[in-house]
Amino acid sequence: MSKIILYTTDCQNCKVLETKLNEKNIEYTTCRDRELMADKGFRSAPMLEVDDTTYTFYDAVQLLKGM
Amino acid sequence: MTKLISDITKRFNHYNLDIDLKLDKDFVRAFKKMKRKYGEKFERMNGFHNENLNFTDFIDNFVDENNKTADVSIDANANSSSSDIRTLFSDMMKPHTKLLSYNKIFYELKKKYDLKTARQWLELEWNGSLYLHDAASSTFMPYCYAYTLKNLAEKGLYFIDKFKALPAKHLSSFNDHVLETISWLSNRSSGACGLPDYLIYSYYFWKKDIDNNFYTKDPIYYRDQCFQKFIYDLNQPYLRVSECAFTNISIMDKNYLVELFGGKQFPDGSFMIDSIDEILDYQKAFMEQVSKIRSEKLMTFPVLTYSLLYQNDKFVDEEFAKWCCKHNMQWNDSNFYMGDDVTSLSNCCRLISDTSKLDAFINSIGGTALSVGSIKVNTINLRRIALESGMDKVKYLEILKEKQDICVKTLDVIRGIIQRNVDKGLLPNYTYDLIEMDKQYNTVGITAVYEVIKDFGLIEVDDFGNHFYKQEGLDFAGEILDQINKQKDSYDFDYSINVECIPAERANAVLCKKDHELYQDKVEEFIYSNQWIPLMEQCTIQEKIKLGALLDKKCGGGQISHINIQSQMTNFDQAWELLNTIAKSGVIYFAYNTKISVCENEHGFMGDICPNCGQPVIDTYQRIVGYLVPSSSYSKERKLEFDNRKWFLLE
Repeated sequence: MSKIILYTTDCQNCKVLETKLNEKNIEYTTCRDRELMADKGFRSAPMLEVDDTTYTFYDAVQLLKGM
Repeated sequence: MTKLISDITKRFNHYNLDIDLKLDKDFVRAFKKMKRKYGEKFERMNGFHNENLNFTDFIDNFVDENNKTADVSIDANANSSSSDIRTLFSDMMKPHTKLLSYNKIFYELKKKYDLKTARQWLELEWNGSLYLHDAASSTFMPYCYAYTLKNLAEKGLYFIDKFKALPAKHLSSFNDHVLETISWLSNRSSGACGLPDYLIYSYYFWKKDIDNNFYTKDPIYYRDQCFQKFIYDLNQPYLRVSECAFTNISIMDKNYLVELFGGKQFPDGSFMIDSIDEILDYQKAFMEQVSKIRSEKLMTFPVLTYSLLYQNDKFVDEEFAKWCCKHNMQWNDSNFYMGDDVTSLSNCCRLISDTSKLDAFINSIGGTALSVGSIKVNTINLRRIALESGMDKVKYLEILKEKQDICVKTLDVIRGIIQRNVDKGLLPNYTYDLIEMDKQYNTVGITAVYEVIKDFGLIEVDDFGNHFYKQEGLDFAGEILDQINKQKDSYDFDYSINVECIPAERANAVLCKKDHELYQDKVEEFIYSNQWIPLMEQCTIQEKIKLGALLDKKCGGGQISHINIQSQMTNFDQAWELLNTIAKSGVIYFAYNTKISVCENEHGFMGDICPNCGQPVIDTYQRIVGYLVPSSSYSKERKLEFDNRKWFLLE
């Protein structure tokens, strides 16, 4: 089973991704640590981490469409 | 002699009515003092001469077949080129509404600050140290705004008293609602009406129609028909009383679309993020129709801007950027906005709407909004300060500081006046939340930077006649802009101020003329430049790009670089390379400017003979400042400037 982390700032875009994950009944943890996000080099939120792969908001939505 | 006799006859045959016009007594005193001190020429330039204020004289001048609207009106632009009864009716009021506005501003400055400040402002405005844009409506309505169409799509025409149309169900009715809204809004503001999300909602209604089998012939035909009708409608000269509304539509890359709309829903609850790819295609289809229509009927609106995210020396959505680059090769008709983050977006006239600077927009990463604009623009004539300073840099910066203070205070009281108009229910565009004042800047305009640097002897010309800023000139230009930015940030207001290098379609001719009147031979120009290097001066494309890269970022409210090219580019690789070079150098906002020919049938084409009908060119369209207009509608000064523009020949 994949380890999924949603990096969120609770912005509108983050909420949409959260909704989509919930609609698909996908288990995930959330991270709101902005320092950690900055350390990871993120320039925007939300980001979705699936195992070792990071997806931007748009890419995460595309990923979920196929699930 | 005949005219003299006619004038004398008129004088003997006419009496003046005694009509009361109640104005602030201190204003009247100061006003009369200005008339005495600066004389008749300044009265005319300010639109306060009897020939302007006297309706019958104004009508005589207006109907004189030798005069153009752009030369008679006190507040003309090339968008208002017709000289029919509707324009006459609108323009004859302007000197009076300008007088009332000045009186109000003077009174409020006196009340909030002091009489000295009010007098200083009137003199600076009168003598051309400052230029208040849209002065005739300055205390009546705000300037510009980029509106979201969300409420329109969800609630219909909810803001029209006594006839509130329900939300549109189809694309055709949505487009009608958009046009009615543009007209309603443009009649309650003086500047641009930005429509950054028009294509987003347009897509939604089109898709809905297709899903419900509500279309003519086939989905693509129906879509393109709706686009065509919408574009033609936007160019009808009735949306703002007697002229077209100034409309601006943004074409965004994937990154902008995701950031701005990813968290939003369409009226039926579906997420916009699920339609990003389709919206990208829809935007392209719209642009294809724009290009097609130009061949059939060259038009001005909408002003189009590509918003492309550029990070780490490359376009993030390279595929879309390439498409934009290729598409633009046909007409060079779109502006390119190439920000390195998505909090800035050019969608409102030439205003760069840097949403990160507005308190209302500071939120989480990626948090941004579309609704942003400007209450009013008041421009500082930077050249005048050079003439006053005796070419002493320290003195220059001291005078600048004083003038900016008056400029900012003037904008401050205008904002207060507009707020009171809202409180009194006079501006329902605010009451119904179509505009939110806390998302509008007060804009300090600047102009004539090049002329300042030239006055200080800091422009050099190489053996080939190309003009360059000396390093000291570049440093001084930077110092001026830095001081303006620092000072505007030092005020403790509960709103934001931005700085814009203004387009100055009319302002730069008026300010130059005033400087010439006061400083005679020291002012050789007939118009000032709205570019870091005037379009009339020969320079290298590299210098133009360099200046844009270094100075644009000091104008948070915007500066567009025009790159005049002799003819359209035919080689995509060349166009792509140039676009990347410009973006890499740090230029944020630019447009290529090419002469587009028109024949008597109004077909647009490149060259001398129309490929559609074989007729010769009778006029050319190009950007006078920010939008494409025929050179035949230019004012005398703009026409002369245009005739002297230098054009780059790309090989």
